[in-house]
Amino acid sequence: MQDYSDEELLAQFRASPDARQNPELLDELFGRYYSRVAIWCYRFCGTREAAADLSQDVFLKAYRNLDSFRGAAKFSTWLYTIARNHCVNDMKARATRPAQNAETLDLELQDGETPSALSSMERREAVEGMRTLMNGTLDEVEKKVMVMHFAHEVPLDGVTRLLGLTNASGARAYIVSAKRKLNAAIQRLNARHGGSS
Amino acid sequence: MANNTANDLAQALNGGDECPSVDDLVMRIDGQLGGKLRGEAESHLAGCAHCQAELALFREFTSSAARPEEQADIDAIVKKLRKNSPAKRTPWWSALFKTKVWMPAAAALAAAVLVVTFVIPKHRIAQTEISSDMGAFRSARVNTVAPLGDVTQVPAELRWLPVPGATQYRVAVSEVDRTQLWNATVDGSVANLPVTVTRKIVPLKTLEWQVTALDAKGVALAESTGQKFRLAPNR
Repeated sequence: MQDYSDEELLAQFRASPDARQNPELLDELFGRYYSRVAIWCYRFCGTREAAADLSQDVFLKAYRNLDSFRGAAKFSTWLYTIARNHCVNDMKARATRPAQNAETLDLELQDGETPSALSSMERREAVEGMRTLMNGTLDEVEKKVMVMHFAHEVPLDGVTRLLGLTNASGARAYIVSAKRKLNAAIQRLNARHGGSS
Repeated sequence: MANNTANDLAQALNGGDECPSVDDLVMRIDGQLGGKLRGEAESHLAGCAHCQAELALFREFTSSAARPEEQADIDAIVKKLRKNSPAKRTPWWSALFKTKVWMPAAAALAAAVLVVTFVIPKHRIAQTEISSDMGAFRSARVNTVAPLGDVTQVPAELRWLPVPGATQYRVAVSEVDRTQLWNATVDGSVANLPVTVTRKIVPLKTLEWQVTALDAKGVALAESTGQKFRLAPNR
């Protein structure tokens, strides 16, 4: 059984007429991911008790939704998506205040120059321009921190633990640094735009 | 104008229409879909911070080992997961019945369980039944069935597993900003969605629903977490 791929195990499980009464196949498959899901949930929330609950929920969801798993997909990415979404949704459900993603971005950027060059572009081009700017300006860790926190809504301490950041203020320092770099890049862009017109 | 820039940055961080799902991304980069798609994916990846982060996070998930300071906690969680695996749906005592020599003992055990059941207060019975249904998972949860995650058709109803002791269920559908679109109280474990809600289920718009199980006095017995779903875009 250990020689089978995840997808082969799942195919055998599905092909078995009394699969739900013979848990060995699924035990083997899930067992391969217990540690990875536990680590992910633990780093996301930071406590053993909450991580145990989250991890159990992830496998319960996976178990219940096995029928919706696409055969062409990889089991690992499917389970990863469940784990990531469940952790974020659970955190939101428990939050007393809504996330402040857009506001946080907004406040910081108001300190910078008015980005006339980007704002004058068409919306789609402006987003593409920002993507290029971000890609050329930020280092690898800053990009990961920004995407994790602002796109995937992972809390800052969760980002710190997931990425194993060991600096004193963790992910927050990378966000401050990323915003400073982006502000400076926008100012340079505006200066060039103003100089050439 | 600063707002525009913040919106642009938020959109850039969220990825665009051209960004593949993490599953597609991994399969393309790993070359499982052929060299041409791999080349295209690498080219996209080089200029997309969103997908770079997405891939890095997935690699983190698959390859990460517990750090020394995490090891004890991770071991404890894994031990609990092994014990409570949802795959082990067969009750532990069923193995006893496979061996005939254990039959008398198993029968005695069943009798003892019956006796104990009769002296357990009523509210404890409800909790026990929920627990036995889901192994050792949270007892005060309503377990939702559908819709969850990406769906391919506009769902006509919300479905969940019945909760022992519940006589009614209160359901609510909200926008992701918590603006409530609809709520209702129903008798069974299915709630039909009204047209006012189904009309709002459009591709890529995420909605959230939640269900609360109520006893005959209207007291909440169990509650689901907020369940998000959205209509997948047409491919």
